[in-house]
Formats: sequence, C-alpha cells, structure tokens
Amino acid sequence: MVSCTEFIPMYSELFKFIDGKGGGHDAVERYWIWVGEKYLRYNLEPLVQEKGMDGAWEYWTRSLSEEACDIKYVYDRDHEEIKSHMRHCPSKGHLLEYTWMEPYYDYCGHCKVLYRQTLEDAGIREEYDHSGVDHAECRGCLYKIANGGPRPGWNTI
Amino acid sequence: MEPLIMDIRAEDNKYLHKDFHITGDNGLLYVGEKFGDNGVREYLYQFTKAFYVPLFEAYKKEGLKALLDHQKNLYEQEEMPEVFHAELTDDELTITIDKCPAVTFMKSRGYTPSKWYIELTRTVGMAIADELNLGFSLEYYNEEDGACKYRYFKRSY
Repeated sequence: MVSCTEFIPMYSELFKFIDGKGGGHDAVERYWIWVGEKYLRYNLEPLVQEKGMDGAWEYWTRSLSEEACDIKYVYDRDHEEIKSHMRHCPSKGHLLEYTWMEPYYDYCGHCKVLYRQTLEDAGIREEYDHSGVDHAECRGCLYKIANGGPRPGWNTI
Repeated sequence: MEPLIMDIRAEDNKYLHKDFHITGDNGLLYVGEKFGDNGVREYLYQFTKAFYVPLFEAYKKEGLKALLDHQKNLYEQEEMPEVFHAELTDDELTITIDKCPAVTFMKSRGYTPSKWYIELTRTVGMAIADELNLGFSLEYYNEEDGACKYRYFKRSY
C-alpha cells in the first residue's frame, strides 16, 4: 500500500510520466479532465448537483480540513460567492519540501481543470489567481455562472 | 446573511485525506488502460525511485529495520496500526496485513479498486527491493480487502 499521505508525490510523478509519453502538457490536461469526471462523481458532483453552492462549501470545507490546509475560506451567501486564500497549500508545500524530487512544472494546473466540468454542470465556475504557486500560495473564487462573474476584489481576501 | 468563514492553519488538522486513495487508483487505471501493464510498472518504478530516496538512505545505515519502520509508519498514519504485523530477522522482513486501510476506505465509498491496485504493493515493493539489492516476494494478496503477506529478503547467490 502507498499511504494517502504519499499520494502527492505519486500524483506529481504521474503527470511527469504522462507528459513524457509523447503527448506533453496536452496529454496531462486530458488526464485531468478524465479524472475529474471519474473521481468527482463520488463526492463533489452529488453535493453540487443537490445543493449548489452550499454543496461546494460542504465539499471543500471537509477536504481542505483533511488536507490540513492553511487557508481562509469565505462563503458570501448573499452574493453566492466562495472566496479562498490558500496561504500555504499542503500539496505544493510537500512537493517543495521533498528537495530530492523535481515536481511536475505545472503541478498546480490540475486545480484549474479537474473541477471545471463538474462545477459548470451545476452552474458554478471558479476564477483562479495562481501568481503565488511557486511558494504554495493561491487564491480562488467560486461563483454562480448566472451572476456573470466574481465581484471586484475577489482575489484580495 | 452573515458570511460563513473557515480560517484554519495547517496544525489545526491532521493530514489525512483518504479520498486520495481513489484518485491514486484512478491514476493507475488511466495508465493501465492507456499504456498497459508495463506502463503501470514503469510509472510506479519512476515514482518509487524518485520519492523513496530518504528510505534508501536510511537502509544504508539501519538495514531492514529502516524498511520495517517505514512500512509500520504507513499503517499508523492511516490510523489502522492493528492490521500490521511484522517479523524481522537478520536476513528477512516479513509483513502481514490483515486488511488494507486504503481498500477498506475505497469500498466504504462504493468504489471498487482497479485491477492494477495490487501494484502499489507488488510493483512498489519490487522497486524498493531492486533499489536496495534485496529480493521481494508477494506471498498472497486478497483483492476483496487487500489482506496480504510479503517478504523482503537478502539475496543469496
């Protein structure tokens, strides 16, 4: 068995393996789309289909806690937005700690692709600010597609 | 409505996100379907050689005890230390697992592991053994619950 605590380096090596098989980053992105459809049907999909933004809040507050994130996560129910400031992402953080390994160069790219279709099927979209991923920091905003986009200042919490 | 806020630090929660077992198996399934059995082995050899460098270093100093400590720690992290049994001699480490924490979790979520899931025990075990110039033998593996027995042993020529 490989422990779930060893999953992150296994994931990063998977991206490198797929990328190196000739398809490059496009092949990795196809994997992220595939795994989003496959994996999220067991957890995120039923929650957002049934409860919309409340389901997204329920899913991420659990998974972000289990991943021991350092994060501020704010659900503005009046404007149907969930804003996040990941002060230190444990996944990217672990990869940076494993100094003997080289992380996949776009490791954090999976977050942008993995959840996209499942969320859009439930009328939700996410905006990302990945400018700080080199030191394991990022921001995001989930919003209802019907509302047109995130409100100004979403990436300043 | 008042916004809902989750503001957590890494130390507030234990790092144990068992959903990663499903995502990890999805990776094996994808590689297996795209690149076949040898692709799965190639991927897991790549992961093992890249990630377990500290274990390989510890083995040089402590021998089979380093391997025992590493394996035991996996089951402690998964909060199922009671399923782990080991016998250590000068030449051999035998490990018996009553049931696999990962398989137990995946099945509790209604997810059936792929036919390549066994490779996280068999191929990763072989890859570690190869790196340490040891022999490895998977004595049995029960796909229903992941119960298994495997040996690392010093080769005699």
